[in-house]
Amino acid sequence: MSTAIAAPTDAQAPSADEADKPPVLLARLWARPGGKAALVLVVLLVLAAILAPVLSGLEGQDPNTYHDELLNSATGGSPLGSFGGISSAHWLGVEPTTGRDVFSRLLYGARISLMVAAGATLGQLLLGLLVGLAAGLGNRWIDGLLSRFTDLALALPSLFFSIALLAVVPQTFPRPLLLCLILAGFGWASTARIVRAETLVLRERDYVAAARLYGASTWRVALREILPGLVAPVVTYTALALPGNMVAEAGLSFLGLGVQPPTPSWGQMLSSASTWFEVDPTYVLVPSLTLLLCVLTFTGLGEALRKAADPRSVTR
Amino acid sequence: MTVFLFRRLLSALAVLLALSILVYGLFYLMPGDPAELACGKRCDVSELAQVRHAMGLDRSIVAQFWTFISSLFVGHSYDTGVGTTWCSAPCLGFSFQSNEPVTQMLLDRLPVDLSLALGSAVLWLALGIGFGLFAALRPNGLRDRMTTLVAMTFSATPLFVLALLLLIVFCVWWQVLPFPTYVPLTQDPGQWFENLLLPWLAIALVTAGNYLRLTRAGVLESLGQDHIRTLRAYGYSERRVVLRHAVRGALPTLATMAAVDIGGVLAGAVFTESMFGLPGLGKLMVDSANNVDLPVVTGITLLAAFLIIAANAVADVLYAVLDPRVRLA
Repeated sequence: MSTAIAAPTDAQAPSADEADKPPVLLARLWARPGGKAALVLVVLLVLAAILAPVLSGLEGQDPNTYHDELLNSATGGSPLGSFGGISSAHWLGVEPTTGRDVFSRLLYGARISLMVAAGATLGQLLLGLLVGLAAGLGNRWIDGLLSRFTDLALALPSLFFSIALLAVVPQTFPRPLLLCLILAGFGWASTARIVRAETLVLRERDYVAAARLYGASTWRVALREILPGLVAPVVTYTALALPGNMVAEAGLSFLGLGVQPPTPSWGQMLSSASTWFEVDPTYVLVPSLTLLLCVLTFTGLGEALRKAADPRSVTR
Repeated sequence: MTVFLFRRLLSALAVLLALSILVYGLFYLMPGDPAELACGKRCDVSELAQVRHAMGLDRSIVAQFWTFISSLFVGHSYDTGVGTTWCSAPCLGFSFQSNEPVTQMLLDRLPVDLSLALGSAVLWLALGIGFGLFAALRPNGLRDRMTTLVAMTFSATPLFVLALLLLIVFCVWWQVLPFPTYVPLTQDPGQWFENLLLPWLAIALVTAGNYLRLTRAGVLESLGQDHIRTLRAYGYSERRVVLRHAVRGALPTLATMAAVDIGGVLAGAVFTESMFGLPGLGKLMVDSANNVDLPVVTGITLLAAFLIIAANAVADVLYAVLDPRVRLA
């Protein structure tokens, strides 16, 4: 009886709701005015980061060349000219004390910012899915253990742990990777909690029971039956977690513990800007407003996704 | 209620124990020799062995952890080679940098965080609840949408960016406030207030959005309930119904959230303190981390964990007091 029924080679059991599939989600997102704007902005941001060398080439600058001739030695190295030394050669001015080009540093900084945010979010997603699915599908004992573990991870003062870890791990370890690992390591718990809750609902569905009756293994049930149903809630949550990770990276670099010089990063620019805000406000405003724009764009995208995934929440 | 309290306390203690194992494990089992860090660069082999012995690093991990935990409760004496130093009751060891007892360093910084937490909490509660009610009086109207949009923008803003912008606007452009330096309340209350106004505002603006949303949602939810219908049938004005009665529905959630958030600021407002140069726990944490001052980093992390867990426990108890339905669960 138990061995007689082989798992079906081609899945006959109906899979998750049609409406939850990614293309439909994307189409619904595109149909919303806010969603359209956020999507376009995000694509532009990613393109700007990828094309950083091309764009700085267009400007005719690079992020690491010092321009002492553009600095006023009388004030301790603030840029010559108004608005932080903005000119046709340096579109967003130059950095105080070094004279490096702000526009190209901003673009190269976007690479770090997006890469760490994306990597951390991906890591947090994978870990959360793994733990959440295991807790949702496992027996009482596994669920209890994993859920307590999740609770513990949520209770951690994660900022303090991140700072401490960044201080203790040797500088030879690549910092962007370390940041991804740390942010993912402290962020997976909330994803796991959502995945577990959704899994508990989905596993009671008829199509999952049907797949079980066919003799599908737990792995198969998890991957082919439960996972498609998790796409909508998880994608939505991930889109909202990404700007959080971006802020966290900028924050840790701002504290001097994240990405180390000479690699340009927004957090670092902000941290050096914070000593110059009286003399050269432009140098503060450029990275602040860029970071703010990015975070608001990604948050907007997340909100639009949430509404697109759950149309009921819109018609209040 | 007693059973509930007891169970909550027990689970808080269990979490705290698990966390302290984690804290200890993280910092003392990491690559890099703590003795080398404590001893400094010019340290020969015999001196290093001496320091390692004094720190107890030559004993087993379990024994070391036991010393770490027990010295929190009964103190611990350190053998420095020339004599012994007594580190009294809540002992967290001595700083590698300044050789001060860590516990004293933390106690010195605590008033800053206490000032930050209390002042900003008053401000964010006033802003959040005030504008939440403002929005809830006419849901989905223009002013509701405007306040919600503004609040969401502030909530999404990174604290250090907001702090920098506030500094530029208030200290450089308008020059109405001084660049913050910490003045103790006991020394000059006026100066204390004036200097902390910007940090309070920064924390409050970022935090208030959540309170606005919760107030609005709580009021709107309780407006649908029977006792509100009865009040309306009596002919009470909408303003009075909302401000006097519907608010109560939002209270338990607001109180618990406030407890958790206050605990968070108390544990160290890392970005606010770094940005405004306030000598609190958060600033000490960053400085010690940059100097790899392990005992201080461990001490602050442990204190932060304790404060956050305590705040969560207080939040749960508050919720149970304010909403009797929870106690049955």
